[in-house]
Amino acid sequence: MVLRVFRWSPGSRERLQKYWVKARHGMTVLDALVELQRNSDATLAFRYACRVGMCGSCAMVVNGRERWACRTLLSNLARGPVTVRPLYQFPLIRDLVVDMAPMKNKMLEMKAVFVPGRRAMAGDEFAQIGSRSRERRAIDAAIECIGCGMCVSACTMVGHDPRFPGPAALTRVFTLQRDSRDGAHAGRSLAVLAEDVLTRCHGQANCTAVCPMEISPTDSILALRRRAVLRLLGIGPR
Amino acid sequence: MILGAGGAGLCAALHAADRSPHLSVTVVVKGLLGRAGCTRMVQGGYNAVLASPDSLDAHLLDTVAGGGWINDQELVWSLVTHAPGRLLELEARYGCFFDRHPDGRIHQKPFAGQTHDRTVHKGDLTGIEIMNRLTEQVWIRPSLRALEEHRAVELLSDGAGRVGGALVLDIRRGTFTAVRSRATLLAMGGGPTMYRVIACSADKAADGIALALRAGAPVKDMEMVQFHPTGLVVPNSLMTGALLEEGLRGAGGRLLNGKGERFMSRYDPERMERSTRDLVARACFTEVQEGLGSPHGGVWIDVSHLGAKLVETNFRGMVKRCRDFGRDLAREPVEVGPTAHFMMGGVVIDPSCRTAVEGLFAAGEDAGGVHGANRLGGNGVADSTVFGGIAGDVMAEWVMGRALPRLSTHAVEAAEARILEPLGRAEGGEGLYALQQRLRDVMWEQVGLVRQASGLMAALREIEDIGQRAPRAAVPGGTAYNLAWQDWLNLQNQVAAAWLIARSALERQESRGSHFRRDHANTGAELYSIHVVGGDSAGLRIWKEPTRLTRLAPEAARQPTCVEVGD
Repeated sequence: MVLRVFRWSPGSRERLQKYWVKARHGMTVLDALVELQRNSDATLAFRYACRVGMCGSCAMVVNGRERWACRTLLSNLARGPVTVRPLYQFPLIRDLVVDMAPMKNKMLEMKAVFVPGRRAMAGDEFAQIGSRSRERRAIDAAIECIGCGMCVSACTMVGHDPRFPGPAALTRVFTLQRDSRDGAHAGRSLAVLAEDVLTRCHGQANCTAVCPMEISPTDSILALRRRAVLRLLGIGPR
Repeated sequence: MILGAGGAGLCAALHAADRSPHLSVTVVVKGLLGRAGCTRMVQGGYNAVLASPDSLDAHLLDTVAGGGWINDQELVWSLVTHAPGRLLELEARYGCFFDRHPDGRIHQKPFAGQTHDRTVHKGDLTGIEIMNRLTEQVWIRPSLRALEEHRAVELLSDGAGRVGGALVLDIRRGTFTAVRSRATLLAMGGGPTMYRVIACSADKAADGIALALRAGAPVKDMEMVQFHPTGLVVPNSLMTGALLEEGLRGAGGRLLNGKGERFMSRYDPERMERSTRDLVARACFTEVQEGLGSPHGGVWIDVSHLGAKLVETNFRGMVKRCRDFGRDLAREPVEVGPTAHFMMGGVVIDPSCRTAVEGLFAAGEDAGGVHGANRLGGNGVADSTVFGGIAGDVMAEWVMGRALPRLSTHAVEAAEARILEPLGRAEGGEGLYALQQRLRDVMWEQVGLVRQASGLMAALREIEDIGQRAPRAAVPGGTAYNLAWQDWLNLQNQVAAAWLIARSALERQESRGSHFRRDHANTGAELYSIHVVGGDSAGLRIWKEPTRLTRLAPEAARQPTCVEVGD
């Protein structure tokens, strides 16, 4: 089969390089890249770590759609050449490797990090939050993010408005705002009311379509919006 | 300086920062912060004693009995006494979520080899939750700096036998930095990636073990490598070896060989598939070795008789994992086989994580002694977070009043020159990846689940030959983000650890825990660990160190070989 791979390094022009790979049964996109790198072109750069779909390091755009290379079988892709390029919206480092720092920076801007509340800090016993509580069920549906960045790459608004925090950061904000142990709800509530945040999402749900962990950032953003409205009307949580 | 950023590295960083916010702490990680290593891959959970009738003594006994009685009992005591506090810290200070009962209490599940329901978890993706939360906390602490896609390639001595820093390679740019540090932690997570089939993260290469060996820190129990019986078999894919959790067997899953026989009836007719994990793994391996395997060199696991609906509800993640590779776990048998999972052996430490070399500390899978000859499921992530935290606290105190060491430029230049040597070298001779495959094959065939003296001696010769050739292999391309160059470095570390495993396995003339010798199938009465130290010109020194039974002694009634282990 033909694999067309995006190549770029500092000082050179970006191009799609064509390779022939013997596609064998069971091979994933990552397997094909590893085989190329080991046997045909040692200079090809890409990133992977766990290789079983847990670390989120090998996200890339395969045939125009964000996918995890380690869990994408070549046989599940459309017939014909397979085109592999790096994630969109992230600065390039080399070939398929991008700099994930912008996603982290957006998280920090949105204060999307747990801050222990006063009760949690007293910390001599575990918070008692039932498995079937509304809080826990809402969080459970949105928490298993592997940080792969596919949602950010697929989001048209991230490309359009550099100040939009993007689906990953807002999903984490959502889980934190539902977390009764957290002590920084007020600051985050203000942060999400800024002009370029919640109202910017147009609900196209590309993020939800590509998430390999079946999380729906779209739902998280809508839920944050509902809470913001209720709060502004003075009838919502804090 | 903290080398490695799994559960041990990040807990160390957080503890050092919180203990002494004015210290400057650097975390060096081969991949992206929070995504490299194996803590992330933990499915099962975290062992901690939270409520009676469970007790610290019971956790101690289970761990030591599971470990074939050669654990360092003081380390185990540290593990079991700190685990409940560390778990609370993960939840209350860092915001981790763990599964709960409807009434709000933390849910603890039974795990093999344990006398109480002790294993705290977040669904079957406990590691992702822990690592995500730890990573966020590292980001927001101003005194912590992460060097992502950087790796330590050599520990640097201050000239007086102390470790005073490391030579660090920036993988993206291909540039070196000599980093001076008053205290250095090895938390690079061991990693049995020198075997053909692996369950652990593919980015590991036993880097910490190799660095410690070269720096002259003794290692112990290197022959103890844990194999899990049910790794996925996906021909032609790196996915091979990825775990299918043992709950499948617990629920009544059957193992069948290539002829469709429930072969466990020949190994353990009473417990069948629910037999202990080392025994099941060895049985699978033996079937394949005797030509009774499935078409792709594994065996079959069949859970279809349990009903598709039950399997799809209770094993959602496993069903998805199989489905991505065109296998319907709920309705048909799936090919599985044993997979190299965890290294119990590692650098010798005391309960403060100090190694024998001043300035050098170790925690997590890089350290040996906590798990003895076999690790219980759920003790791995407890080990890394407990000892990582201890190391952070100890190092933060230890550096007080100590001067920043001076490093010899000569040593730095020599190390750089050695590492740059293969670049641009004319190709010829055996290729890097061919050598790596040879290593993985010989480790699997001769130093794997079933060992014997002749095979181990042949393996040592093969490993030494690969070790001679590996440094001479050519690496095409430049220094920046060159995967082949990184694999050249990986291979040399894998060879160093492989030699230690094979040599220690030869030395231990008995079977115990995960170590099985066909030529010495019985467990001896003597309790000891194999220690190895290198680093000076005199070569390696190997000796037996008797186990000190500081807290418990084996009872005659309790047979140490009966253990089950989890992930």
